[in-house]
Amino acid sequence: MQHTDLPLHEYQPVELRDTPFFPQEDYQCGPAALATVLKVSGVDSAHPDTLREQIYIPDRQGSLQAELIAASRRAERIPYVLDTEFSALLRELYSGNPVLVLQNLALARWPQWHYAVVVGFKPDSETIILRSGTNKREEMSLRAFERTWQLADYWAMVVPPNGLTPATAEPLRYFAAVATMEQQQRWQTALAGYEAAEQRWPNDATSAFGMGNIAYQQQNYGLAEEHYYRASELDPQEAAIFYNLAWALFRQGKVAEAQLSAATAERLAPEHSVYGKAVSTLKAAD
Amino acid sequence: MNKKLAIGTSLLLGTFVFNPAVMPVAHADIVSTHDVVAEKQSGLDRAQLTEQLQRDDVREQLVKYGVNPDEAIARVSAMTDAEVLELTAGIEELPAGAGVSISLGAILVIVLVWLLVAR
Repeated sequence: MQHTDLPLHEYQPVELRDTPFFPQEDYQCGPAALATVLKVSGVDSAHPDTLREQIYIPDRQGSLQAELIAASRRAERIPYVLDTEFSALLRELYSGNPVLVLQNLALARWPQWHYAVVVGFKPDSETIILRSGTNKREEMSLRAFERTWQLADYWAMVVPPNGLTPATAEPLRYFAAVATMEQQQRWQTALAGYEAAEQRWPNDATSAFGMGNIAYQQQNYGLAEEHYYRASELDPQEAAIFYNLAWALFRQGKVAEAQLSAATAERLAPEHSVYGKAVSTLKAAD
Repeated sequence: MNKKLAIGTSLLLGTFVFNPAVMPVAHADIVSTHDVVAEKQSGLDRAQLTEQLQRDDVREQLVKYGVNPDEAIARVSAMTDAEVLELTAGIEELPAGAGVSISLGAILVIVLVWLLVAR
């Protein structure tokens, strides 16, 4: 059990008392739990009744994890699945993010799947505080909680307000989460994600690269060029940046500069299936 | 301000008109952030690309399980390739969080019966 390894004396009690509570109706713990975290992340319209339509599967009488994640995106928020560590859950809690968890309340063989929201932790009495089901403030011993959570593979997610990264966010995984928003053309939310990432990891070129890609897809090639330049200064070895920069220049009619940038991309990754042919690809488009 | 408003409006319209996850990027010329990040991650993610067929399959499964067809399209559109793949394994197999609907007593009875009969 992980909780037995936690340095309990180093933790302060925490309880996010302002976390709203939506008592669940029959089988509706998914919509209720998701509404709780979305509301905290600033989605004022979040309500179990509307979320039910988006995540409830009638013939399973429940909601799948992938659907909770997808519905968060539809609410223009960037969901982040945590590392399967008790300490990660606690870190999010201390930074003010209520944590949505999956639990199995019964047996591995006879699962009773349930979603709840962790809102507090009392190290002295070794309890976890949850918004769960019809219970506004359920206290569970660490041991009992971990057992139910362990049976659900320690699955947990947070939905921070736009403009903030999760406390435990790891750069690549966070960028993957934001890039998904970009891929779904949720531009404003994706942009907020890249801006937050740039604040947190100012030396990582991916934020500027992503912002450039958003600008490019909005046909704002001049702005895209600026972002790509910034990215290239942070990571002068990344062929993808020079490749996209070449296109941004090309779209503005700066053909000679574009060819130079394409040549750089090619030089940096000569074996790559895309960047390795950058110059000829660009020539063909001319 | 006006420009912002115009962009906002066009975004809003765009969201309704297009099916975001399955629509190819308007300019297939640049490489996407998604691809670059996936390349940096382990090779695992690169393999997790889905075909339209798999998205259709998940959508049909959702409808079969009682989800409204239009809603099923919107649900699948908001999923990544990896999430779609997870669901192709079968909706019946995955944990569906439902909640404390059966009382603890009922569970105990079930467990007792299982212990006595099923073994």
